[in-house]
Amino acid sequence: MIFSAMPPQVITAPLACIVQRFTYGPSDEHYRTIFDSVQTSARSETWSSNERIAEKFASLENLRADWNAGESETPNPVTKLQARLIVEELLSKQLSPTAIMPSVEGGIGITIVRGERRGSIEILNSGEMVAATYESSGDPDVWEFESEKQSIIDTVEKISVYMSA
Amino acid sequence: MIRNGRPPVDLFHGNEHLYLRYGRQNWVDGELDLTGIKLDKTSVNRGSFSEPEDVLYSVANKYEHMGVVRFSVGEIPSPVSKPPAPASVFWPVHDPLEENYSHSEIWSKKDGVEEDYSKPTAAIRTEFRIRLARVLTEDRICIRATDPAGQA
Repeated sequence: MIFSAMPPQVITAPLACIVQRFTYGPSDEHYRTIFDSVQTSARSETWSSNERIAEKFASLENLRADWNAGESETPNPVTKLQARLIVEELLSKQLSPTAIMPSVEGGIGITIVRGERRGSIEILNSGEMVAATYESSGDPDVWEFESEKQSIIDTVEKISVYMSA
Repeated sequence: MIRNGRPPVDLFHGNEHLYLRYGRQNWVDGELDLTGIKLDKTSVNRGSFSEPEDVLYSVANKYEHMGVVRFSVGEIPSPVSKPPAPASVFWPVHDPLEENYSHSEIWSKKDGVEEDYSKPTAAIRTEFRIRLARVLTEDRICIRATDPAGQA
């Protein structure tokens, strides 16, 4: 029985890719109807989020050289690749970015806003990568991190813990 | 706006307005995101000698669609420290241009070190930009940015 292991109420958008892997028996119409409903719902939420992020990356790809009146570099290919890896890691933690944007310092900024709390990651063309968590007052927590996978995972985990606290 | 031979005025009062240009793509959830602030001799205009719209003046109209926010000299975050790096101090420098007498820059150097200028570390730059961005909210918009600039 498919739903004994995966009841509908726990199927959320990030799990849509898992849901899509399930199959069901054609004779079981009742569960087939429920399954189709849940699958469609989960898929549409995921597609919505993915489309939004795809649009943001597309706008970065289409950024003209004079995007900031010619006073800032456009993100370079390495920066764009790093940003995609970081966004994938954020999504794995159910942290959908509020904004993915070019930085006037030359690079890409990823910002997550949840109420008063903000998490920020900036990937610069220079190779520097800086993350921060902060609110409207108090000392921000700012740290530099490396491009290695584990360093990215640790940074995303730190932001995830802060945003959900 | 024209300099017309006038010398720089070194003295800034804490309540003097500074005008900063921004793009709509860096406005996030009610405030300017730190990624919209460039921190390497940040270019601003002095409120004593200009109006907000002067920040967008360009013969080639290259600042079309961009906006202007204001903050006061006293709101420049300084010093900013991020151990183990030495703290950095920040201050405004009047740097008149022939076509823009009010043009100024925010300079920085390591605290307690004899030097004219040094670019802070990435972490200190980020902290400075966060602290400044906090005050750059809706009520600080002088001219609102319109379309995101620079899309092909």
